[in-house]
Formats: sequence, C-alpha cells, structure tokens
Amino acid sequence: MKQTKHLLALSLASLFVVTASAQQARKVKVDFKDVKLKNGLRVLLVEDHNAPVVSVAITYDVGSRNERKGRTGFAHLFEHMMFTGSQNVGKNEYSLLIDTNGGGNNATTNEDRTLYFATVPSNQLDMILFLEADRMRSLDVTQDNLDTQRNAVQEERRRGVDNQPYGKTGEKYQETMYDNFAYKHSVIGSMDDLNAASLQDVTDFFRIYYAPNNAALAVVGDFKADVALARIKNYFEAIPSQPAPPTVDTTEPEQTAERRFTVEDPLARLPQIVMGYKGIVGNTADAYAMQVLNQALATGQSSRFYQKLVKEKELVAGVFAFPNTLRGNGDYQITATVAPGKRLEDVEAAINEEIVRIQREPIADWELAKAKNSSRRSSIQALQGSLGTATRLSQNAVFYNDPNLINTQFDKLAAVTKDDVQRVANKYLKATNRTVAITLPQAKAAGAGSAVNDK
Amino acid sequence: MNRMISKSNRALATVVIMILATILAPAQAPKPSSKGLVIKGKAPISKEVLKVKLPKAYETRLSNGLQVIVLEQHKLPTFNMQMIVLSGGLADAQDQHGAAQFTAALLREGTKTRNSKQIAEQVDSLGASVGANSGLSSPDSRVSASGLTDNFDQIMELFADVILNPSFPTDEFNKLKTRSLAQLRQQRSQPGFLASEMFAKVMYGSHPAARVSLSAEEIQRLTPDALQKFHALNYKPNNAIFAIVGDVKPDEIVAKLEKTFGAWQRGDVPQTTIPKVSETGPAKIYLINRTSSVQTNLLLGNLTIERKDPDYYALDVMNQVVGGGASARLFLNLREDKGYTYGAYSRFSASSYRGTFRANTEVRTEVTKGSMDELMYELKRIRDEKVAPEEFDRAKRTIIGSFALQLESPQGLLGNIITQKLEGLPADYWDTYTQKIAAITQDDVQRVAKKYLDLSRLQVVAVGDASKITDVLKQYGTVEIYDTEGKPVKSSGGGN
Repeated sequence: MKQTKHLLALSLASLFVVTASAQQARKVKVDFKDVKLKNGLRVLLVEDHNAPVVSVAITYDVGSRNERKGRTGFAHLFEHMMFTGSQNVGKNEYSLLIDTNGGGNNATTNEDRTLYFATVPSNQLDMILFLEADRMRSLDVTQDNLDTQRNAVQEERRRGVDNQPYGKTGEKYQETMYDNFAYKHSVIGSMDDLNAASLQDVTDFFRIYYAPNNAALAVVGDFKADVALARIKNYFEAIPSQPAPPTVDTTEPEQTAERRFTVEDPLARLPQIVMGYKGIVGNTADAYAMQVLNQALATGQSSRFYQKLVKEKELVAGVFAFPNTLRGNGDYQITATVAPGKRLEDVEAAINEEIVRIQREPIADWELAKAKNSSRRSSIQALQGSLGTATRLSQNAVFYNDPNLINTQFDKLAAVTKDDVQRVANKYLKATNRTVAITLPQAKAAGAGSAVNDK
Repeated sequence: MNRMISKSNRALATVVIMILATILAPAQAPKPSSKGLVIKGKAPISKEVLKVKLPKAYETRLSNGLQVIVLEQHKLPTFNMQMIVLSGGLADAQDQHGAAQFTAALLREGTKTRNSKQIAEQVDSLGASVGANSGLSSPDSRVSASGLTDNFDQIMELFADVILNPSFPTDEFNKLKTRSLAQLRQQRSQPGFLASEMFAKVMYGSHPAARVSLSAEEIQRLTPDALQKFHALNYKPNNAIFAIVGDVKPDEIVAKLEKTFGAWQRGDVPQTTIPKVSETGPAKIYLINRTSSVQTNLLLGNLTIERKDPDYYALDVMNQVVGGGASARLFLNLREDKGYTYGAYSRFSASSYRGTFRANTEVRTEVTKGSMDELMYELKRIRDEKVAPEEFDRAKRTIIGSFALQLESPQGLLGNIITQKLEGLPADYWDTYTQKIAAITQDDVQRVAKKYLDLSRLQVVAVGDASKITDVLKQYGTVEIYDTEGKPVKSSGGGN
C-alpha cells in the first residue's frame, strides 16, 4: 500500500527530533504547534510519522477539586456520561467506532482534571475529531443513562475501595489530611453523594466545565499539521465558548500537629501504615527536589527503604513511596505493609530513622546520578507512543499553561542539588506536618485472624 | 494522509452514510438485552482498513548455539533486551516446585563479583532495569534489561553477569523465602487472585498449568543447591534466545554478544515434556467464601486449544464478539444495559498446552443471580445463534485494524516475533494473520462456540459472601464451598 511504505520507513520529515550533543548523549525534543481557536480551545499538534496512527488527548480543566459538598464523585460520574451519546453519536457508539476501527480509547478523572484519550489508525483522523467535537458541542443526557452509569460507578467504587483490603483507609486518609474541601474527599466519591446526583447536575456541569475555553486538545501522529489544524477548526471552532468557570481555592492552612487514625479492616491480613506529608505544589523547585529525594528513599531495590526495611531488617512485606503531585498541595506518601510476626511500631521507627538521616546528611553522588538518569530515561520513554506525548502536552497546557514542559521537565529535575534535597526533607517531612493512617486486620473467628495483631 | 480532507463536511457525511450501509447496519430492531448500544451512523469513517507491514527482525546464531533476534526501532535512544531460557516452571522437578521461579528471582541477588546491593546500586544508577522471572507453569525463564542506549555497554555487562555468574547466596535465598511467604499471605486478601487460583486448579487438575502460586510447604522445601542445579542444567546458550528491540544495529549487537556471551559453554539440557491436559469434569460451581465481600467475583469458562490449532482464528473472533472489550456483548449487556458491574470481559488463551476461554465480572452481591443469568445467556447465545452480519464484521475489523496500533509498541512487535518462534508457528504467521481472520465465517464462529463452550463441562468460580450467595448459585448446578486458603469447608448442593 502506498501509505504503508513511507510510514514504516524512518521519516526524516518527522518533527520528532533526536539530536546528539557532546555533554549529554542524546536529547529528544518534541516540536509542537500551539494554536488557540476563536472559541478559546487550545490546540497542540505534533507530526509523528513513526507509525500510521493518530492520538487525541483532551484535558478538561475540571476534577474532583471542583466538586461541591454533597456531590463528591460527580466529576468522575460525569466522565462516564460522556460516552452515552451526543446529538450525532449514539450511546456507546463513540467506543464502538474506535474499537471496530482498530483503535483504543478511555478516560480518566483525578483531583485536578478529566482527560479523554484515543488512538486510531491515521486514516480515521476525521472520525475521531468528529466524535470528540460532537460530545463537546452537544452531549445528550437521559435519566436512564445516568442511572446505568451511576450503577457502573458504584461498582467501580466497590471493586476498587469497598471490596479491597486497605480500600477505606485511603479515603479516610485524604479526608483527614486536608482542611480545604477541594482535596478533602475521594475522587470516586461517597455512595450517598453518587445517589444524590441528578440530571440537572449533569446539564449544569456540562455547561460550566465542558466548554472549549476550558480545555486543551492535543493531536499527535501521522498527518500534516496544517491539514489537521484545518480539520480541527472545522469540527471544533463553532462550539460556543462559555463564561470562565468559578476558580478553585486549594490553599491549606498550615498544619501544626500530627494527625493520626486507625482503621480495623476485615479484608486486610497484614497491618499497614501510611505516612503522608502535605504541602508540595506541582511543577515547583520543591516538587522536583522531592522527586530526587524519593529516588534516594524509595525507588528501586537500591533505595534506602528497600535496603533497610525489606532486606536488612526484614520488617515489611512491602514498602513504597511517591510524591503525589497535584496542581495544588500534594503530598509525599509512604506506605509500608508489616511483615508477618513483626511490629508496626518498629516499622514506623525505621521509616523515621531514614527520614532523619536524609534530613541530616546529603545524599550520595550515586543517588543523585540515579535520580537524574532514571528521570532522563522516563522523560524519553514517555514519548514512545503518540498517546503519551499527546497526554502530556494537553495536561501541561491546562495545569501550568506550559505545554513545553514536555521538553523542559527533565532540565528542571537535573538542576536539583544535594542541598535542595536536604532543604525539602527538612521543610516538609516534619512530624507536625504529617498524617498517619494505620490499618489493622480485624480479628476474625479463624483463618485470616492468624495475622499478627501488633499493638 | 487523510483521504477525506478535500471534501466539505456535508459531502463527507453523505459519503460516510453510504459506506456505513455496507459496514454497520443502521440501528434496527434492537437485540434482546442490547439497550447498551445505539448506532446513529453519522460519524465520518474511512472504510479502508490500513494494511500494515510488520518490520522484519534480523536473526542469527552464535557459534555456541545462542539464537539472536534483533529488531531495529530508532525513534528513541532506548533499548529493551531479554534472554529467554527455554526451561521454566514446567521443568521443575516434582519435589522442587518453584525452582525455576526462585532461580530467576535470585539472579540479581549475587554473582561471583557483585553482591545484591552492588547490583541494585549499579542498575539503578544507570536509570536501567534488570529483572528476571519464570512462572510456575511457564515453559521458559526470562531475564530482561532495558535503558538508554548511551549506557548500553554497562547494562549489557550487568545483564550478562547475572545470567552467567549467579552465586545463589544462602542468606539472600533465606530472605527471598521469607518475602515470598509474606506475599502468599497478602495475595489471599485479593478476590481476583483467589478466583484465578481456583480457576486454574479446576481447569488443569494435576497438570502443571494448575499451579498459580507456591504453597508455604513448597517454598520451605526449596534449597539453594536445587537452584544452583537448575541454573547449571538449563541456562545454556543452546537452550536460549537473545532478543533485543530498540536503537541498535545488528552487526554491533552480534559483536558485543560474541564478546560477552561467546565463552558461554554449550551443554546437554534435559528435555521438558509437557503432559497432555485432560478434560475437565462435569460442570460445577466452586464458591470461595470471602466473608465481608461486598461483591461477587465470577470467573467461568472451558478448556480450549493448543496454539497451533487451526481453530485459533475462529476462537479469536468469537472471543471478540463475546467479551473482547467495551464494545462486546458482555460489557454492553451486563454493564451498559443492566448496570450490574464496572466491567465484564472474556479472554482466550492458548499455548503449547491447551488454553482456556474465560468470562469474568465483579458484581454487587445482590445481583449475583441476575449476572449469572446474563453470563449464561451470552454463552448460550453465541452457541445457538449465528452472529448477525454487521456485528460479525465489526469484530473482525477490530482485530484486523488493531495491527496499525501495534507499530507503536516496539516491545509488542518483538513479543509477536518471540511468540511465533516459541510456539513453532510459521515464519509468515503474523503477516498472514489478518487474512486468516478476514476469512473466518459466521459458521466458523458458531462451530467453535459449540465445540469449545461445552456447557456440560463449564466450570464456574465465584468469590464472595457464601452466606448470601450459596442458594443463588445452587440454581445453576452443584456447588462446592472453599475457604480463602483454598480448603473445602463443606460439601453442599444437590446431586454429588
């Protein structure tokens, strides 16, 4: 086929540029077009001729932080409604058309955004643009569809939270850590609030948040950028813009004392401790320093937590930690599952010892090298598929008004020094700034009750 | 690139409707239980399915017998390589179950010149990954490494060291045992794990494929000597395939392999014989009582075929129709019409021994009955009714069209090549795959559905609160109840 040939050859015309430079072996730069349509929709385009596919990612600037009291879980429930039909697209026809043409699609909601994404063979560019535009322009909602999706979401909640060991702990952790309602509730929401969601809520939410001026659309793949832009204008530009949605306040009063709670969980078999430190704001110098800190403390088998808690002291069945990066105040979260026969107090003490050490002493040279090398690798590898590139462009545009972060993020991390790591360790990892969540297996008559109950 | 760019939107819509008439029938009288889908048929669709040509790999063999596969992908300066040792859990001695798995897991825990911590630090400092594993029912063991190409030589050196010179230190072995025992306990809190463990057991009986995880007793029985022996016998160049994909050149790779693995000595490797899978017993329901469950996990299915069986293609299409995604029957029925679940899917597998077809879903306890009814309805329906032409075409297009997307996944492409080699499939297997799918008829699908979805042998696993669902499940057949340790608690149900 005429198409196939030049698609599979490595195209020199690709805007994906791999260059060699002396100081750093190779850099990969994403060269993108950044256009704002008349209705305020921000469009980001990248030609990538490595495979005959097109990926579309659209980030709407709305997440669970935009929810009001009594409607937790609504942003995510609404995400489900986006698949139930619009003026020219029937219920589930969106997914059907993508699937049956060899593509893939899904959507995801978190605290800070709702993201819709799809990859299709490149000859279906028109189809995917038509489908995305139609639901942005003319979502068609019915009570019946709302009820079905409410059921699906409630099962999603049961599957991920209520029927899982430690599931309830995560929810209570978020509610305990935050003071400001924006982040003080789970993304999945409570059963009661999901039950309360009405058709009117859906219509209002759509009007307020699903406007072109509240979104960024990234299209990456095997097309000519000017041609694709013309098609995008054709499908999207007539969708009317709306008044800017109300802004969200995510500020938190300073925490002055530790918060701690214990949950008894009939589904858990081993005790678990979660320690979280709040206040790290995404894409700041502190956030990058926390990433380096996390590499030393918790990433891979060379990490301090793994070596001390898993290997040397054999205190835990598992330990992991990560900086939960949010647009507002995120947290640094450490989770350890106590090994059979070991004491929870000892696990907590061992974690604290490592925190004190990283506050007092600079990290080693090899740890800094590890952080930089692994970040360089992941920033490059994220560009393997067109979808990863599209997702990051559209999200960075909405979060930080900076789609070019895809090219500069690694440099920001590479600028982190050992002093920075020590500084953020002392600034955030303080006992007064933490929330501690403990889960204990609920004693049962027999069987699972054999898990050691450490008190 | 796009064929429709010169047309106006209106003209486009007209063209599209004409095309759709041949592909997607206009929304007609809805099928029973498919309120989940409404087709308006207005979106512009290219009726052409992109024909893609899969990239070819370079293949050679070193003088010591090591097979080499190199697939060039130069988009990014990265690579991903693996050593596939053609002995895995299936080669475990009868009294040493887990030997292959533990051997692989210990490779990173010490070599003649590096201890566990040094390996971890060196791998992580390079931003690289090095890992190894073998499943209990796997025909092979795989060691993999990946990273950026500017660190290639250092990563290759570590990769070779853990393959050629592992020392199986006793203290590391003991620590691994302790970790594995803790993991065993953790796994048992997961309903999904409990369901798949039981499903494998009832599908495969005494066949090694029944083994999903080791028992505490089996872990205790393993010794460092047994692992050393497993390694010495099986990790041989004439029993291995080296495969790499990424920003590399075949001649350079071969030169580096000669340098690193050239001195690796051939040896006689014991042949692994894979026993035949025997037929399952009559249909039965296995209920695992997980008190406090708020959902019932349902997992049910039958034995199918070996990978080389010509029915593979028809079963692939059948699976696509029944539960191959969010546009298939199970999802549209159980979730989008009934609202019973977050997801309902089917899956079909086949390898050097008979695989399975399985459907699964997680539903709130109260709708266990409704869900069983719909699952049974869909299994009967694919057997009793020929798939409607438009639905049938869609299923085939889904499979054929997805090949374009595979070109974005270098590891997926290499995985296909490896599957073709390991399963002994013809060299042009993937090049002709889409043609074979296109040739499948509705009759083929109904024939394989009748043949393999044998309801008289259907095995059903349910994980949930027995006090609430035992009576419900008894309506569908004989029920055996187990605890979460996998032990039978009492016999129940009529007709044993």
